[in-house]
Amino acid sequence: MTVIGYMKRSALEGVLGDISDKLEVIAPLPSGDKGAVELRRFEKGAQVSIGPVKPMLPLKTIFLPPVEQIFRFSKSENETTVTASTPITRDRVVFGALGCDIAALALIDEVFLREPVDEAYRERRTRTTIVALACEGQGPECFCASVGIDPVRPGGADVVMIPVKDGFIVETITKKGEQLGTMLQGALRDPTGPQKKTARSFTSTSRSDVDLSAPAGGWSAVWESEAWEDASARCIGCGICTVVCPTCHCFDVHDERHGNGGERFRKWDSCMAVNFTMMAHGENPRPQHRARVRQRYMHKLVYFPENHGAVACVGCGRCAVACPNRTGIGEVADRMREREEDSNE
Amino acid sequence: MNELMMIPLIARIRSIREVTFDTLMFEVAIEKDGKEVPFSYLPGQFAELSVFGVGESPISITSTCTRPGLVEFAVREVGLVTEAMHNMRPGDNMGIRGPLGNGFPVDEMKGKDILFIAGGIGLAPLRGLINYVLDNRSDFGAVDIIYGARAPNLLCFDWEFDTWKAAPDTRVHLTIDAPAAGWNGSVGFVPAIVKELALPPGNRLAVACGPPIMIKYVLEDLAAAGYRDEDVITTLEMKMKCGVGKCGRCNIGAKYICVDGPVFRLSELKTIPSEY
Ligand SMILES: Cc1cc2nc3c(=O)[nH]c(=O)nc-3n(C[C@H](O)[C@H](O)[C@H](O)COP(=O)(O)OP(=O)(O)OC[C@H]3O[C@@H](n4cnc5c(N)ncnc54)[C@H](O)[C@@H]3O)c2cc1C
Ligand code: SF4
Repeated sequence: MTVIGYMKRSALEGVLGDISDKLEVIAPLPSGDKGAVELRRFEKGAQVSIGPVKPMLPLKTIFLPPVEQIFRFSKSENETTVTASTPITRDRVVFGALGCDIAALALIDEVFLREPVDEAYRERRTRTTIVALACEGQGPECFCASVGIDPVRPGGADVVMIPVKDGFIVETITKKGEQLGTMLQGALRDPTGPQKKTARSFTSTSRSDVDLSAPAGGWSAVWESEAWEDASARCIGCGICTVVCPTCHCFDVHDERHGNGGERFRKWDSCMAVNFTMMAHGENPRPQHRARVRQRYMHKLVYFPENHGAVACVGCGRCAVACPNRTGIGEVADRMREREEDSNE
Repeated sequence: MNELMMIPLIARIRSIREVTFDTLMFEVAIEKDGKEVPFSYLPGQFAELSVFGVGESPISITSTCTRPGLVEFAVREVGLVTEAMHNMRPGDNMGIRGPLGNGFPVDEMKGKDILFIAGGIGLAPLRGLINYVLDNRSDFGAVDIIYGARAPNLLCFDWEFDTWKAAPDTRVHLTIDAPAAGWNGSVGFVPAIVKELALPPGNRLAVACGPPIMIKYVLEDLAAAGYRDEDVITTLEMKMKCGVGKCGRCNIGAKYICVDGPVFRLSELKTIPSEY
């Protein structure tokens, strides 16, 4: 049964502490002393940073960790034993997830849950309950509303918490959410009329005027666009945009040997790195910086939509904030279409 | 599906055969939980082979599924993983994930004459297909094999040539780049031989595998000779890590070489950017 109730902000840490006896709890916690926030395991006594600061790294880190062991192996005379690693040991709940980050998971699902299914990712996904925090917009960089995301009640959330005076209205949405709802019951009160009203009228400042659409004609219409020239001229190739992006999911695979055994692990990789596609015999299909910049934007704006029916951008704006020259995907998309209009004249 | 998705089975090396000075062929038996298990695949598919503790590489299956039993891989030493493979001995364990990739469209190839064109180690994926065709000889029309390498001792799988020549309605045209002592076959690059032979398209499919520069000229020559794009088949090589469409590095346009390829018709290649 759907649970709706009012929870006091001051009760939150206590509630999370109680839940952490049963589930692993992940929440936005302070990172350093400069006001930054990161999603990590909540331990009793910690202070949650629920508020107007986006975690530096997106929610994907909880499902595709930056470095992840795939298996361990051990060798004897003529035998090798391979033991798949255990992705997680407990069911989990993530509190305070933002709509953009949650929407990105649905895009990553398209890749990691199709055959052959990535079992480690699936296990993390199915064993994690997602509690969204309705987002009022976290600054001028936010444009999730432009890509069809509801920042207040985002699709993919199991429970939504909507900030009201001194607390939240908590609404369970899915079956998983209802199960969590039973653990929250004790801290919930019947909402008052004004509280309900505030929750209903909660709105976000997320921009809805960013246009990421690609022109008709697919990749060939924009292949020679000057957008790539412009964006690559400013880009220093640091790749921070791919690190902070909630939808980027490329990885590299490495082995390590320890004595008679060892491990294989995967780690995030970036299409902005020159050796990303460099082959053993020295050939590289994308040797130029411009070709790599084009690949990054084309993947988001053209190739992913062609394969999965949606742009691979959720409008969180982290790339533009993190980029040393503040390049935002919206301007690149504008420039990309501009070129096409020019050549149509 | 775990053996496709990142967790390998064991490929136990039964024998190793020298193919050329830098290429070895490994015959392996596939084992799961200590027991030998069957491994079925199509010509043109590949597997991710690994040396535990060193890494993983995509390698074409060069044996043919019409001869069940051991699975064969020809590996050229070019870097870390392939070097470690070259240091292995019979009895040693590799890891294996596969079969991966689409493979050649063998059913659609039935009833056709086939022109195989290969250069260097490019014969590795084609060898499995050639043996598949010859093992099902009556399903296919005339077979011509053009194969070239820089020098006679760089021709791969030379032990196959006499058997192929002896098969019904099958011709083998070997060529090397420059004259060499004791060589009395053709001399010249593969594209030149393709032109010289001038086999008309008609009911013929061309299947080409080799270094990018060879492929480039061969495709041009075939087009000039009137081959339709649908009747020209080739394979693409891109750096890859997972082999199952997730690690994100082997795409050309919206196609992932590991799952949508590595085999493509020229008509499909014309729909993606020419980054390869
Ligand atoms: C579909 C396919 C089939 C192939 N079939 C064969 C074959 O039958 N025989 C053969 O000798 N070679 C084949 N190759 C090429 C072979 O995969 C590379 O030569 C090999 O991965 C190089 O690995 P390395 O560790 O020795 O080199 P390093 O330079 O140390 O490479 C490091 C890693 O990068 C990746 N990598 C580097 N180059 C390539 C490449 N060209 N293609 C794909 N991944 C690469 C691999 O994961 C490799 O382990 C094939 C490649 C593809 C894509
Ligand atoms: S963050 Fe900016 S400078 Fe760095 S790779 Fe991305 S676009 Fe280039």
